[in-house]
Amino acid sequence: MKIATIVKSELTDPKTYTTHRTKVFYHPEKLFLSDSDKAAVELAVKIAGNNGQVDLFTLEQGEVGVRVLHEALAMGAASATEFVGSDPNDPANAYLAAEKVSEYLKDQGYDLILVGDVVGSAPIAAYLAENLGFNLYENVTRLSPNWEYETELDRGQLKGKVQTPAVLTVEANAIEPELPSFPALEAAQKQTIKSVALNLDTEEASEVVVNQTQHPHVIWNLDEEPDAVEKLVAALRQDGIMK
Amino acid sequence: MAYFIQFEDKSLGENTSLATLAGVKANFSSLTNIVLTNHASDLHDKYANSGVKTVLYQDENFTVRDLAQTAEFLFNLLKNSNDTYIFEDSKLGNLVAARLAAKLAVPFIPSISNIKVGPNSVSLSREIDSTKVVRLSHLKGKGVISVAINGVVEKAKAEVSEKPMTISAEEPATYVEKRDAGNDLLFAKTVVAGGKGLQDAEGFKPLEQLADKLDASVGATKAVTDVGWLPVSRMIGISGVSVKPDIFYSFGIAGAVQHTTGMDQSKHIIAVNTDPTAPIFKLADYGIVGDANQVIDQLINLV
Ligand SMILES: Cc1cc2nc3c(=O)[nH]c(=O)nc-3n(C[C@H](O)[C@H](O)[C@H](O)COP(=O)(O)OP(=O)(O)OC[C@H]3O[C@@H](n4cnc5c(N)ncnc54)[C@H](O)[C@@H]3O)c2cc1C
Repeated sequence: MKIATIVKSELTDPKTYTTHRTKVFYHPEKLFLSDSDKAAVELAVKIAGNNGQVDLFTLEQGEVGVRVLHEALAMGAASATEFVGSDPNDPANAYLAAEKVSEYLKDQGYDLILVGDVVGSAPIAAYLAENLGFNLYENVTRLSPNWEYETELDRGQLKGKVQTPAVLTVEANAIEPELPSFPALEAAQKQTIKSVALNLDTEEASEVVVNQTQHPHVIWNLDEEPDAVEKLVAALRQDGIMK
Repeated sequence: MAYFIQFEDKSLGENTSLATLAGVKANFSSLTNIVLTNHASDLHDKYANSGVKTVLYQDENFTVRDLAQTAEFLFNLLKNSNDTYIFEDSKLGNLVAARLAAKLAVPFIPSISNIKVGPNSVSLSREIDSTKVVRLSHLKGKGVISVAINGVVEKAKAEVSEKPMTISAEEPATYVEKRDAGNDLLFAKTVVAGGKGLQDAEGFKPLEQLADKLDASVGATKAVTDVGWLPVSRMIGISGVSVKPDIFYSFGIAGAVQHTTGMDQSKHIIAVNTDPTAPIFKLADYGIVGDANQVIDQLINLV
């Protein structure tokens, strides 16, 4: 079985973005391979077994792209490719990126594409499935050896059977990843990473800006301000908390 | 023009909240509510009072278990229009939204907490985890979004019509409910919680009225459930349930750590307490030092 796994980082440290007045500073050194992508790679390696192959891809750029690919390579994948020229967290042009990625993957004979489900990233799985004509299974929290899956919803789960070729998005709790060995980590650092330019039309890109409506901490005293409740409602409306 | 798309599957607990519909309506002057359902006849009254023009698409075979067929139906319905298609930022909402966006080959912008509709584009903000920044995207044409926005449900008359849809009876997946799926407190977008400071069981009646207006779920402290003013299923904290709503209103609650561990992940916290030194104020975005019963009565009249 030939499996592609598309990996990315996960924001776990709020200091990945710091602000000064209206300026935003980005600290990519705080970003590492996401837990759900670790689960996706682990699943891929297990499914592929001895006769299959797992190829890694990422839409992460620069040092983050290289870091997540090295981390995932150490888990047992065969090759690593970075797609250059997009932002995996930008939902405004994810459909354009997914179109280019689908074109690239189309004739390579993949049976399965696994993508970690990362909060805050731009979803691409549905676009890939649609463009490639694959079945789609999302929020997968379990995949058994006979291909029974569970999809997590808010109040319950969907259960069914995966039909390949398929795109799966995988939750972090789908499988416990094994820690890569030190020699595997060392070998991964030496592996070459292929670069593929996406040449996106980035006119529709989004921007990261300072959040103006963050936790104000305003306390009124009803004795001193008899209109405190009106002030509260006005503030909630102003912040968009109450429409 | 915008469409809010929701599902009413009588066999599943994954339905959309009216407060989200109200929040969306506050942003889009021209909005149609599309409901895919297998029990339309039960829903006319509900949406006739929602203030939003609603079309119920009915087929007894409809089920959200069939995500592919649901997306296919919506694609055929909407492919020739050039609008914004809005889903609730729930797991189910996002799954169908992503599939629809893929079929339409348009952007899907999920988990939006703030919308500004301009003359040529819609500006959408998504909070980036617990950072102080947001991602701002501009949707210039057709697009799909999912929103975590709540509004106050005004009981205004609205036109409701019913149309048939054709869905085949295949069910590619089964649905298994989680153990605590019946407790609406766990899934509420807005929680109004009361503590011992509401004085007696009577004090909870106005709180329930306020909850009704905000489409909220009522929660309580252990001190309240211990004396039986509310059932134990309403208890928030280490001995009860943990909640993470968009808005948490706290009335007459001291803010003991055993309680706050169950609610401190809420997106916005509003606290009312007579004691200005009550620990709950440390968590509050907004607070009022004063009598909770008085504040609740005023809120009921104001919202
Ligand atoms: C092992 C253990 C587990 C526990 N687990 C939980 C748990 O899961 N959940 C939980 O909630 N608690 C739990 N508790 C109890 C917890 O420690 C607190 O005792 C409880 O949360 C207090 O509830 P309260 O704030 O409603 O009451 P109180 O502590 O009595 O506070 C009432 C508050 O109301 C204010 N007030 C009074 N009159 C008014 C008025 N007119 N208007 C506005 N404010 C007014 C007062 O200033 C005061 O701050 C646990 C305790 C222990 C020891």
